[in-house]
Amino acid sequence: MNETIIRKRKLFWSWQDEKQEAWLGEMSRQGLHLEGPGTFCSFIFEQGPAREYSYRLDYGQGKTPDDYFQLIRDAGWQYLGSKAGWHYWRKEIQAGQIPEIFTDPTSKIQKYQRLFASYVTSAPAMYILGLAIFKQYPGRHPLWFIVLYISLFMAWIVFAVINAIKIQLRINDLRQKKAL
Amino acid sequence: MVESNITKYLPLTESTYYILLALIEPLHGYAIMQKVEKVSESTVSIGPGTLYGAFTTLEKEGLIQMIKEEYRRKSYALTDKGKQVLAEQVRRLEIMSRNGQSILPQLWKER
Repeated sequence: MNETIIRKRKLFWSWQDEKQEAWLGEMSRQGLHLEGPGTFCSFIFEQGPAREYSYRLDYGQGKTPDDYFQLIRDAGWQYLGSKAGWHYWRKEIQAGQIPEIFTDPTSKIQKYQRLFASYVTSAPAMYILGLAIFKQYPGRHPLWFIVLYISLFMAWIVFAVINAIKIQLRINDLRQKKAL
Repeated sequence: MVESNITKYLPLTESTYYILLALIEPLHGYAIMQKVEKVSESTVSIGPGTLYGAFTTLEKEGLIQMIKEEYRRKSYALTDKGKQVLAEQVRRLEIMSRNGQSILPQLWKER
């Protein structure tokens, strides 16, 4: 066996999970199969014969209990790893039947609600972390330090708000599908 | 008059309906998926992520309960409340089906 490991870097926003799934499926059709998510927006691939895989991403099932992994494995899915709360799964496509982890709008909405909640709670968490840093170094802080801290905090708020809005739009979209 | 703490769950989605139906006997997740696929004549298939989420919701609402855990597989069964919800859903489906059947002959009739 002569397998080659290839690392690719690609940036996806958190609301682009379906785009990411499609991209991973396309890589497998070209003979690059995901080994697992790497650090800093990278993906580790193993080179091999082209295959038809369905890749699916799930977001943070709380503390991700064992029975969650067991159930999805029982259903024939291969667990590829987790990164930043995202779990990577894949299953081979057989007879044109595309396997799905989520089969109804309700469960997809719940997944995006978990993601949404993570951004809502991240802002206070950042704030508290910042305060802790200030407390760590009592006395007068240099101006550049305060400016840097405030701009980083503001940047994070903007980032979190953009993500939260985009995810909320996805949820609204799915709610409409559910209505009929 | 059926109590509102039962009717507030109705109508059940197709997935939830079949999950409750399958749990007439205690089963773990994958066994439920197989049973639903079979009894629904492949009209409904439930993904494992959807099923996992349904367990959480249904257990929180007290419609099912976990009765054992073996090799990281949790088995669930209907509670009394779950049985009442399912029975009321079946009653409504009967009415819906009866109504549907009665108009079928006229559906494709020429005007």
